[in-house]
Amino acid sequence: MLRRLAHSAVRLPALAQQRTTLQWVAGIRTTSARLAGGFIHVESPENSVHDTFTFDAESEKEIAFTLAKYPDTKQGKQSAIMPLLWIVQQQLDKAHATIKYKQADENATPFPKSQGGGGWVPLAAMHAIADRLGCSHMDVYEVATFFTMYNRNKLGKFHIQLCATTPCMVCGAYDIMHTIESHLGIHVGETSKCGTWTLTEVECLGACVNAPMIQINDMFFEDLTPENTVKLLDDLAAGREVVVGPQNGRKHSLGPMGRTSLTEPPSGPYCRDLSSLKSS
Amino acid sequence: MKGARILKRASRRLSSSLTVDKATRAVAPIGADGLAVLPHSLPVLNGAKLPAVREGAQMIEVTVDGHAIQIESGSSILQAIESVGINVPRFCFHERLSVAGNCRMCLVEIEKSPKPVASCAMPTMPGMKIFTNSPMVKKAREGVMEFLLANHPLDCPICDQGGECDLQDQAMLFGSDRSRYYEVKRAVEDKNLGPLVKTVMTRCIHCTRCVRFSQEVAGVNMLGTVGRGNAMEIGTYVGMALNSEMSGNVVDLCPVGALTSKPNAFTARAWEYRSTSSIDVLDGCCPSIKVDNRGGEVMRVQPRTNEDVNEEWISDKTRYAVDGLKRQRLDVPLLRGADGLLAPVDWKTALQILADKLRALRGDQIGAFAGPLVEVEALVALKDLFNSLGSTATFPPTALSADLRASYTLNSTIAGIELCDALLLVGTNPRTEAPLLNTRIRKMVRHYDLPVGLVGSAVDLTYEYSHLGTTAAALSSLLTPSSPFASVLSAAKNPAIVVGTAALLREDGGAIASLVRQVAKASGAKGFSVLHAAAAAVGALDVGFVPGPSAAAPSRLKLAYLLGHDDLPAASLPEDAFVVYQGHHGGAGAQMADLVLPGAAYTEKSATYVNTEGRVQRTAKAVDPPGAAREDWKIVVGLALLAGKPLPYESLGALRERMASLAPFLAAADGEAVAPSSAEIAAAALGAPSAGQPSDAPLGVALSNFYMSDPVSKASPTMAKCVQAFGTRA
Repeated sequence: MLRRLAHSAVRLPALAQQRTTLQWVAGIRTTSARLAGGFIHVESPENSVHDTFTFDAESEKEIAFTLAKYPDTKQGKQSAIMPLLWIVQQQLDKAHATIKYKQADENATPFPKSQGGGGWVPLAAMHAIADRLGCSHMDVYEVATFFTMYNRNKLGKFHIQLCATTPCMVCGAYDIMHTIESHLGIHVGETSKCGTWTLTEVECLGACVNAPMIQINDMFFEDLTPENTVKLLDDLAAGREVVVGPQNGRKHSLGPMGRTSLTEPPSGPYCRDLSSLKSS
Repeated sequence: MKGARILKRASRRLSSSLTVDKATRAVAPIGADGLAVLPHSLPVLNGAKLPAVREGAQMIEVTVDGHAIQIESGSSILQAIESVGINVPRFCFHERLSVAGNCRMCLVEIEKSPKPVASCAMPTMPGMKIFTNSPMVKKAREGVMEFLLANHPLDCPICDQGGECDLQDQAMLFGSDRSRYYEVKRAVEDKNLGPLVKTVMTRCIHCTRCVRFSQEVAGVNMLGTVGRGNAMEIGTYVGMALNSEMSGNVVDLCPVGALTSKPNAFTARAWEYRSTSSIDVLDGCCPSIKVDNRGGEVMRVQPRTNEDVNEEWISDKTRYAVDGLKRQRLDVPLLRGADGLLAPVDWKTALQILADKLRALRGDQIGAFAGPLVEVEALVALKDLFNSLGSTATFPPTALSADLRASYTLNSTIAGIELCDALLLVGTNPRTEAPLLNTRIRKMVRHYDLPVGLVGSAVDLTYEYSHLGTTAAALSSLLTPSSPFASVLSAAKNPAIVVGTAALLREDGGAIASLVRQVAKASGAKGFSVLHAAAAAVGALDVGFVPGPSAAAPSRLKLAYLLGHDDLPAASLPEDAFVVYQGHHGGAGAQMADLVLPGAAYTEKSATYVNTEGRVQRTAKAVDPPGAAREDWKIVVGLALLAGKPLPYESLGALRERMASLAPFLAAADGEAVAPSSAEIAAAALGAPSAGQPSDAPLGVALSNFYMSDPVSKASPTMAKCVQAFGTRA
């Protein structure tokens, strides 16, 4: 009984609990059940074994740059499976260029091109990679299925990755999940009928201080509330400009009282005072 | 009450017929802590062979359970423990596959090591003190077993692996009788791996033996581990069948019931089988097998370890074609009546009719044709009968010259292929003609980059080779030293040349053989090897079952005796020829016959076969022939008696003495050694070049259909399914 209590305590929100309970009862709950698609290739018109895939000029440039980093041996080239999968995802991220955005911090690094977060890897692309690197198809399948950052099914234009690991969860990640689910009419792991949205639940994305947060394609949207989440989704759908980073006006990850420590430059001595070394 | 007694008696009988090592089945008592109390020492392997020490190996001393032993430097801890005969439980480790180290069952304690170590993956160090029966080891193994059982279904009663399951056996030693795991067990979708391998993936313990086998031995990289963590699965990701001619071996390798034999699903239990050690004759290598039968029915075939021939693998044809032994069988003599239909007759009538025909005909009007599965005994008896009737028209399965043994056997031997440093294949596809030879070649290519050249059709051999051409012209170009592969051959210390029978049996076979001899001479090879796809081929040549110089051509025969021969085109015999078919399957040969004599298949008789390398081996009788079918040599001896030319042997022993007088090496059919041909004889086989030029027709392969190459496999429904799923592999 104690174990069961602990169980329900961890899975607080009712909807999530109901669904997970069902999955537990069916005995088929796996990590994959929460992501889009399982660990088996499902033949579909947009992702078929009969398709062919060609790398575009941009990808070819990146591939040449990547392969130069590895030894020109069978094993060496096999090491390039991961970057090549990512290059394919960048190539197929068609939405990135269409998103109008502004960084919450004007000094932040811009996103001139897709980092691959909104793309996917079709089966044909895995075969193309295997042929390019001289390894077997299975070698590529193994890597592509091992890492959750490779999307093996066609996703919506916007891929919402909702962090539900402990810090986000205690800050209300499941409220955000329900907001998104009810606003878009999809559940976790599903793509909306219009093909615009895909929602997946992921583990920690490393923005715990600004929890709860979601990642849409390559961009983090932090400090979410149900209200600003709805606004964010509407803005994205309408093609309006969105702000990347904290949604509540917070700067970086400052606490509510602003900077309270380390307000002055460090006074020294510095650990590597090279000029003093030179003089002595 | 009576029923219970019968049940008890039956179960006692069953348990007494168990072949499982009694020691491993003993139930361990439970200690005060609720864990099993291990015996002081684990079961000792019976007759454990100490590994041979390689030359120049550095020896180090380690201590196993207090016994100091010397072992080669670089050996794993598991090898050190096994060398003193202590059994180490394991799931993922297999001595013919790479080390994975992922099941953790082989944990042992090492002095000064804070944690138990996986003995299969850890090398020994000088002075290492290894403990295999300490409390730490016991607790570690029990812990591993508990984790393995946490997600393993409790479906042993309906599992085909039940009774021969490593997990069951080892759970008896290290498993608890109750579980501390109350969560829901993981379930995994079953994969369709084709018509041979049945999967119940929920039972999988992720040892990855099947993955390593298919990548390393079979050479088809189709199985892998997809996903990770709790969601990891073994599969092909794209839902393909396991497309390999060696796929059945993953069933033997699987330590649990995840991969079982699909044709044998739910048919029998491991303890119901009666095992017979025998050899297979469906390909020219004649691998060692174990024929498991139940109630007079051959249920399955499994490999026996034979380092010289098949290591511990067998091909899918060897393993799964045996269901053909129950179909299309000839079980009664048949005579073609006036209505043109075959009708049953009794043995006496059948043999009398045939004997009368033989008496009425002259020696140059009769001829005999031997098929691919015929044993030496029947060949000798039939040859003696025909010779005494004045006929020398005895046609072997592969019509090569029988003058010099070195010119028609695989002189390099199957295991000896591992010693060559360059290999030339001519007109052969070893993947279909000798899958076990092909895995050896693959092993050498994989580990030692053995250069392989192929003259013939470019087929997928599962390893890289240089394709030198499809016609005999490519052989001629090997004679010019400037060609790249010619320099590889001449640079090699021990090159081997393997010629397929497809190249030698053509019209221009003599010219091709002559070219091969010249290549062998030029490259300094000691001889050349002939790869036969038929098990009867070498035996027939050994006993001189070849047409004499004055033998009548088939087109002039009045009576043709087909001894298990199904491939004779009807047009090659005259219209009015009386055709006799003696064999075990109603195939093409029986259909064109006027008289059918039912014989015994290779599982139903003790028969001598000589494999392609000249190794003399004997099958063992596992079951009785069906119906009125008789052993083939007995039929011939009986016929000879009625034909008025009695043969001088009436027992198998006497017949074998006669065989030994024809070819002395046939006397010892223990399969232990191959009589090596001396360097002089091998050089003589290279002989003088014969006249004639080879045609420019492309060289073919011996088998047009790997799965259906002989009467047994042609009658097998499983092989038919394989052709459907994988094609002919031609």
